[in-house]
Amino acid sequence: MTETLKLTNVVKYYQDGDARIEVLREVSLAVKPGEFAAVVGPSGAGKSTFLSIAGALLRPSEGQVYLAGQEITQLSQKQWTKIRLEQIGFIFQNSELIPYLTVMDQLCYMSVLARRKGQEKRAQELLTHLGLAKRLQQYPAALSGGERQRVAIARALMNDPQLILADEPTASLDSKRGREVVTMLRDEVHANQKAAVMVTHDERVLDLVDTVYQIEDGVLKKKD
Amino acid sequence: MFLALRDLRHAKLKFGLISLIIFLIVFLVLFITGLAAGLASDNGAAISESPASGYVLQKGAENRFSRSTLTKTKAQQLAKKFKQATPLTIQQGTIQRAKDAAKKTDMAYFVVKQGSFIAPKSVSGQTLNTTGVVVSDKLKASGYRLGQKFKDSQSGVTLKIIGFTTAMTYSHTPVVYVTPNQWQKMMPQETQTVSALAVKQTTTTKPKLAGAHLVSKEAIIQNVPGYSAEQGSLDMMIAFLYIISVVVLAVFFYVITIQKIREFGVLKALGTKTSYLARYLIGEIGVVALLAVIIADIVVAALAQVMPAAMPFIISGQIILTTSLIFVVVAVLSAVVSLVKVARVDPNTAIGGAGE
Repeated sequence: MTETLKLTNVVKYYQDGDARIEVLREVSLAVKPGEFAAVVGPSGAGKSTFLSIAGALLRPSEGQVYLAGQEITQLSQKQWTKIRLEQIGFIFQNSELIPYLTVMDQLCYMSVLARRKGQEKRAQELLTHLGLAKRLQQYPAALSGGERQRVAIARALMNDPQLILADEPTASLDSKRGREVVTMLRDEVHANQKAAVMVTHDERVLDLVDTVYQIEDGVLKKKD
Repeated sequence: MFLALRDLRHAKLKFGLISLIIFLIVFLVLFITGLAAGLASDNGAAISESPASGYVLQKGAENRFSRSTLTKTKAQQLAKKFKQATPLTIQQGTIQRAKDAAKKTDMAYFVVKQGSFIAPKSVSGQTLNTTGVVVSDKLKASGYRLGQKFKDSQSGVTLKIIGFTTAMTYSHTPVVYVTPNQWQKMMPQETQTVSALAVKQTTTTKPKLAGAHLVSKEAIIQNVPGYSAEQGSLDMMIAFLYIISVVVLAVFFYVITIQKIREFGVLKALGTKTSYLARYLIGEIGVVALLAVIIADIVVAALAQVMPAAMPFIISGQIILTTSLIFVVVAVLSAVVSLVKVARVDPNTAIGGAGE
């Protein structure tokens, strides 16, 4: 079985005068469909850089990135944009919903971008499934933090991507809501056979994931 | 347009206010344009609407009738060089009615031969003949009526209104057309001279004229006392309004764009192309500008109907349309600075939360 996401010996460094600052060192990782992985580590350890490289947002200095068997490391920005739209679902910290779109439109926008028609029913089903049936016509400002993050999960799933990337999805939530959100994400990942990587520093939700990686000073290690 | 329409609907107040500003600027531009055209007409309608294509003036007259004098014999010699030519004398004066001697009206005499091609076309009453004078429609506002008699303030000669022509004006004063015979009675000392020769010419070749030269109609209008200064300042105002609107709109949209930088980062990370965001921005600006321009057009068109006669205001549908089009283009152009900003947004800013 092909891994949905595979990173091999990924290095990312920045040149600061004569000094070379290494953010990621020889990072390798593989996530299979239906696997929910978490990357934990203190801030500044390279979590964000790792997620950016995995999400076709940042080019690594060395190493390769594969998405569903296809190498995407050296593709153009334009091709990356298309890949992000069709094959990757993002869940950002603070949800990052578009303030002037209703809950329904947040999802419909994704299908408009992907030029897929008649997706209203799918959007409605996804939202109902995540317990947002009564919020369809509301704007993000009217929602609670937990509800917003659930909308973000639905948005990430909207175009049926193979990979879900979550950037600190529990950062702005209390522990109870945070757990709820991660549980929902796990259930969606397992039910739809998606591969998912969640970057977090919230150790309390690690029991919900299948694999845990620890990142420290740019070095990624699998935790047992 | 998915995002544009929803953003417009969601932020009605913000976009409404921007629309209001565009409306005010477009309205002002159209208003000044109408006023400029109105004043231009008020200043030289008797020249611009005359069938004469040009005028022969004395050399050194600097394109002004008031500085030109041709003897009648000279005028006759010059007239032979043109297919159609007729003498014309222009003189500004003052008239008053017998009953109301205290109330005088400034006007301009146009001395033209009855039956010549520059003789006025009467809208009401008779055409110009020796029994009386044909006057500009504008004199009606001062209470002058058909068949009424008035007195030339300087000479005391009484003249009878036998006809009204359209709103013919010269240097903002109504025109009174008199025949050379009547003029002789009023100005017995000036029987041997005329101001100029009105000519109608179809060819572009300039005949050689001794002691005189041919001036185009346009050059005459430009030199009607006060015309250039008046139109120049109004044109400058309009030019500045365009510049102001570009700057104001560019700043507005730039500030709105800056506020949305993070959002644009997220949209790009989600897989939105820069070209899509550019269309979204231009669509938004286009809708706002179009709405404002349409309202301004309606208001100006309505205003043109109710402007008082004392405030000359002329605006054509074509000018309204051209101005509107320029404005929508200007509004879209003002978005260019913002587009550069949007193109530079890195989608990677969406990762790592607001703090990083």
